[in-house]
Amino acid sequence: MADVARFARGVGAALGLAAILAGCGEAEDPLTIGSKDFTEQLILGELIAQVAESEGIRVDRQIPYGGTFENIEALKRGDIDLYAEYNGTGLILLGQPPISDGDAAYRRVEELYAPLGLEWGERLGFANDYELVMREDRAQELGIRTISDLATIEGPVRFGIDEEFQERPVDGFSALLRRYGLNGTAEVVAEPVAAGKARLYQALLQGEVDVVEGFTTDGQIAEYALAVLEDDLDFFPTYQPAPLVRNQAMQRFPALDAALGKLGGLIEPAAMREMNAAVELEGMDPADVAKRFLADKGIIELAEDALAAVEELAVAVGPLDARGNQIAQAVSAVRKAFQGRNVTMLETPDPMAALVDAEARLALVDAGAFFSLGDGVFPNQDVPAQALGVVGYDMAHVITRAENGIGALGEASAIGVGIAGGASEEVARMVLTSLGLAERVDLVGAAASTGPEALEAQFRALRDGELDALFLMVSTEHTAVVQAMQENDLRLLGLPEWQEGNNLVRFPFLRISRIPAGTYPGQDAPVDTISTQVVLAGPARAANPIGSAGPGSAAIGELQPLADKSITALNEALASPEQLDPALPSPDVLRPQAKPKPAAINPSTSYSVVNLIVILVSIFLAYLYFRAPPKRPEPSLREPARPRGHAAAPPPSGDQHV
Amino acid sequence: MRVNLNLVFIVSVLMCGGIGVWGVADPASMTGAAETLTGFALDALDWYFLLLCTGFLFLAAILAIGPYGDIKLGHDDDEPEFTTVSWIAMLFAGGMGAGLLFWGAAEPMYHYYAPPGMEGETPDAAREAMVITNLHWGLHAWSIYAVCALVIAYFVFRKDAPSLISTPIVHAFGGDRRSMRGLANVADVLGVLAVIFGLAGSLSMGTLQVRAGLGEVFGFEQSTTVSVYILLALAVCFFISASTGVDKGIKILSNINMGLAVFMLLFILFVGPTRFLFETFTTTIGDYFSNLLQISFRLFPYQGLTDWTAGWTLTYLIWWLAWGPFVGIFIARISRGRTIREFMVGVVLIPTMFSMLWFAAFGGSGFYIEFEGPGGLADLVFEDVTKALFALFTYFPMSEMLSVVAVALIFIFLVTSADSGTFVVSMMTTDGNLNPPTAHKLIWAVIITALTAGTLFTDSTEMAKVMAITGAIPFSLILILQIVGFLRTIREDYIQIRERRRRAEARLYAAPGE
Repeated sequence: MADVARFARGVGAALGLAAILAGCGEAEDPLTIGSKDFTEQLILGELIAQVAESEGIRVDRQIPYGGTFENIEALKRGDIDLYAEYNGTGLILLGQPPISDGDAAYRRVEELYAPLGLEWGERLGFANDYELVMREDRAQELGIRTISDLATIEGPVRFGIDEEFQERPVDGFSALLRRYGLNGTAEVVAEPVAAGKARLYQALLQGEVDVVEGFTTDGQIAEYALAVLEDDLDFFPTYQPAPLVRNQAMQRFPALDAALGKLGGLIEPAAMREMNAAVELEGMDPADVAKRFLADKGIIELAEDALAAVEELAVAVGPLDARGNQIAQAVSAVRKAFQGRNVTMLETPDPMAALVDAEARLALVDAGAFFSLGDGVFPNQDVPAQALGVVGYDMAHVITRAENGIGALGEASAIGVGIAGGASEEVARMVLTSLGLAERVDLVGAAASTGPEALEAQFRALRDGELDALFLMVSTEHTAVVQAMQENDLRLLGLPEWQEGNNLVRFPFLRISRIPAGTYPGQDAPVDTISTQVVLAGPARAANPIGSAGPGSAAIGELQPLADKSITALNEALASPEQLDPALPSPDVLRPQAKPKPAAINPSTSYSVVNLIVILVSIFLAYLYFRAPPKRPEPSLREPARPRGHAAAPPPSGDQHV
Repeated sequence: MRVNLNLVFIVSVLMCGGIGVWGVADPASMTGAAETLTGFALDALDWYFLLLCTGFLFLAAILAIGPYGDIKLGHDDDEPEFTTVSWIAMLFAGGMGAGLLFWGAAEPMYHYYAPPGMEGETPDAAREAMVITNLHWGLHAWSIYAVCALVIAYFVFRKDAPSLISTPIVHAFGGDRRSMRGLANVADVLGVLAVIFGLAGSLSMGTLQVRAGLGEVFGFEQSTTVSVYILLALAVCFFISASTGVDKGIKILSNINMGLAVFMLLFILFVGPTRFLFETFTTTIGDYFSNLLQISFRLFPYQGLTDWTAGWTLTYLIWWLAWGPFVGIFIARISRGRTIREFMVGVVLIPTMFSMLWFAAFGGSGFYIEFEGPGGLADLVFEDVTKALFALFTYFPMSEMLSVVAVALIFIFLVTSADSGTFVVSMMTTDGNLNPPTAHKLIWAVIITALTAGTLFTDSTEMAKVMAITGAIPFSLILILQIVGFLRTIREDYIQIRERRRRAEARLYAAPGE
């Protein structure tokens, strides 16, 4: 019965849609919606568009249209009918002094824009103010809490900002420096970045810059536990977004007023942060995020039988290796490459096992996961998986207590490796075995079920002396490790002994790398350790009886390797400048194709022989057909010219009674 | 006669047992050997197999259009044994059934995503995908079956010869049977082996399909135990069906199946995007027939895509060839009393049009989701072909009912295939008895079930696949011999028939004058 009801609803929806389409036939131009070119604006543009559509208004999306200046100009010219603007920005656009009180600012812009034929809709419910953001560890190290404190830093402060912030005259970068007197006391290196917010945060996390401009609603601030500098001089005005609409559009679409009314005060700051995070950190489509939000609020109905993506695509990730932005980067790339699929994350201690058992389609793994130690000298590459794209790097972090810790890996008797059975354990075992320490050293995996718990337990055990060291394969941006290093008095050990012997030959995927001085608090010298690529892995192509394609290769109930096309799309989405480590198994499409020249004019004699035999047999078979054809009847018995009519019929010869 | 029968029967059973034991004891080495043979043949002789299979299509066309078309498969006064609807239903049930479900949505999607030698996911790729799919499932496939069937049916019903693989060869070249006994026995044994292994391989794959389907619909565990239960249920059904004879068991099941399949097709057509699907169908007819000549000979030697041809087109054609002796004899058995022209239209043209409509409905729905909906279905096909059909259903209302019907269809198709296979093998090993004794059928039923179970226990899909097609390669030679024998015979017969007709006409014209 439910199915019938659903079907009926589907039919109803189809009829409704048809009615709308028919109604639009005679209507004039659609409502053109613009937006600026960063994530929050894309989502706001979609929200407005979808609410308008729910009121039966036909919408032309110009999302994104351009920066603030392009949008306001297009709005004045009438190229777009509305976009979401912030009241703080609205003031500054008209050269007005900033106002920190949101209500006052809103009233002011309403007055100021009315003569221009532009109308402000209700505010959406949150404010998106500029902020200056630093890495927590760096801020603590330098003792900085407020923007004024930046002036106390000796030497250059590296700022990461985008073009728009640099260009804004009243509340932009130059004005900020002048207000806080930073251009006098400190040398400032401004590095405008065009590629958007995500890139700025990446630069911050990687230590390329010290301070970046952020928005209150940026998902990354909470995600990476970043420090927000207090605006102690109240420099930044408040920025509360509201739809800025041409009066003409309001007249043309009577339903628009009601539609925008629904959005008034609807979006809590936390909801906006979540939506931003969903787009930037999880790679979701802004339109989907907006749709889900509106459906949650009951403004639009998600049609159950709409053509929506249903099939899950699971990406297995390790819990400890909550690799900060590596997971985000990988999952967001998968979402981009597999549009239309419902991409989910599967957290498991051993992502590679999940891939091999067909529980996940892709896995985020260290290069080490492709190998098992075996008994021999060389590790075996026996996992039926292949590397599909580079996500980043993990460094081996050998961590010990700063006081009464060990001096080298060889002195340890118990080493902790994150979660039991996890990826760090396998690499740790390879390292210990090849250094001849496997007998003397116990590897201890935490029994915890989640990554943060496991890390916490291991660091506690290290502090309490139960463990002599930790061996963790993590990126240097791993926030939990950074934090633990800060809170406990720990230090990083190098692995200089790795270069001895033939380890570099035996384990080509474990390379020597250096963690630069100052990466961790109190680390005053660079540390040489090993690193490995972090890659997205997919199922390998199994040997097949009848070639690598075709009906025969499609085993039932087994996961197939990804199509070449998907692999290419995945690599485009990952946008890693680097190629895969040649030591890893990788699909043909990613390998440089060098076609060997045929050795001779005839590449295979046996083929020639078989071909010759087949041709001779065919000739023989043809001969069988043509030899000694059956006797034709006597010429006199041959069919005579067919009689045209009875009268013309020649008298048959006398054998008609035979 | 008795000795001859026993020889074919005993040798066949022994060879089945031997190869079966080898396969179960050391699946890797047996699969390896079969793979080497198949791989070598498809690699070295790709042009030959493509020409051969396209040759069947031309032969079928010539026979239908040419002067032989009026000749009846049977004595001149024979009437068809089955109604045309039952006849076509049985053709489908025996011939491709389960695969049609399995690949209905998956194959067009697959080629749409990764067409050979062009960019995927474009409108042109969608058209190319439909053309390729119909190349694999259309005229070529049914021509192979039709020719395999015709060469047997002609001798059995017109000459009252035994229904054996060797019959056309013996009849055309033998003169007396004694001198041809060696060759005849080899041909018959090769035929039996091709059928038995083709059937066991296909049944194992079919069982896995049903298991995957049950997993998708009811969340069944994907384990060997479940496979064995499915096989047991299958065996019980087809033992019962086999013991009832061709005019009861197979006929009833085929009609049920055809009803279900047509229901499902209509459901997809009219609950889905109807206009789009019929547009797809119409476009495909044009694309397929206007490209037919070119794609029938296309091997991609310059693009380095011969792998693709071997993996797709040739594998399909070989697959049909492997089923040729079995489906052929079965089709022959049910086609008594039809003229060659009627036979060709019924066995080649009608099923082809039906499968074109089928692929237009299922593939077209997939395209609709890709073009108008969110997409993602094509990629899913690459992930796991089994899921394609069930994933497609989730976009339809009453998707669970559709999935249940699909699993039931696959199951019944397997039963009818197994049943008709058993029937054919029994005919082949009882010297062509058109209604072989039930005891005999049960012996073969047990052997086929045992081989299938063995394959399932090795848990190797590769093994099932190579078993399904390897028999076709030696059999293709036998088939050509059969065709040569048939053509020689019909050439002689036609002269006589024409002569008789001329005289009858002459008599007719002469009559009023007297």
